[in-house]
Amino acid sequence: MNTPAHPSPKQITGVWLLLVAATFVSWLLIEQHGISARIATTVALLIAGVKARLVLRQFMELRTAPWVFGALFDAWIVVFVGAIIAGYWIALH
Amino acid sequence: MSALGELVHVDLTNPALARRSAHRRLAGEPGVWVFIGADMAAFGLFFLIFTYGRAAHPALYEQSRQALNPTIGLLSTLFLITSGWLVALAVGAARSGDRGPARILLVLAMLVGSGFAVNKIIEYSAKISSGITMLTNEFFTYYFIFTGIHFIHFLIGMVALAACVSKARGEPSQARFLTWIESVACYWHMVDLLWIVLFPMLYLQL
Repeated sequence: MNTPAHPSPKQITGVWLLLVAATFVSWLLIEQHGISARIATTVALLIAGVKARLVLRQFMELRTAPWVFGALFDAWIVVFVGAIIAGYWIALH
Repeated sequence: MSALGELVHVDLTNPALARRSAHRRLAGEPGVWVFIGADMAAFGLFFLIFTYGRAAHPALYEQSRQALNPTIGLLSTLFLITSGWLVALAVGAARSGDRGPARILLVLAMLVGSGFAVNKIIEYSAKISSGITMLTNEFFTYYFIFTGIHFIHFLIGMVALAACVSKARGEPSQARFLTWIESVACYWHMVDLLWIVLFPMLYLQL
């Protein structure tokens, strides 16, 4: 049987630590004045997409749901985070 | 090995639970996923509306964004993420049949989550006292509508968590309790993930 297991407390805590670390990185990117604001902003949005996917797959357990749901919610991230990034770059010109 | 161990354990205790883990399945009640899908579609539309507005008036949006406090945004994110972590641990405890620890974790999740509400109140009152309202400009109209609708989702989630705390003691059927806690957890994580995207979008800088 290759039944996917429920996440262990250790895995859940690992995901939480990753989310916290990613949140601090995004905040530093928004607050910093060193590198280009455009790059910092784009990276912060990409990090948001990765964080959203972590929450969906690990906490909402799409990892162990029928494939189609994982694909649908992945599409949500790509379409909407992608649109925000595309709109951001269009507004710059 | 641990997956196999869990299956064997579940098989011995409750055949209904064994069926739950023997197939790939959505956590919680399927109906909750209808709500999650509809809410995420609605917020997706909000993101498009905001992006369209920002592309039309980048200078106005940039100037308005500077009135926001990124540190409050950071704290809000940390409160939601940490509350979500506690709820995920509560689901794990509930699956092992540990109702007591699950209950404590849910209460802790509500306590940490209420930090988000405190932040929102501080943020909204700071805006209003400095004369910024929904009518200030298009950016702030969207800001108050989107964060306000998100806040309503947050409040519904808090009520659902409270209902779960009471179910942890009052629900005799383990299968029904698991459906409850998994459904509420998925909804609560959605509130978290919508904020994760909403927050950096509002703070976009030129």
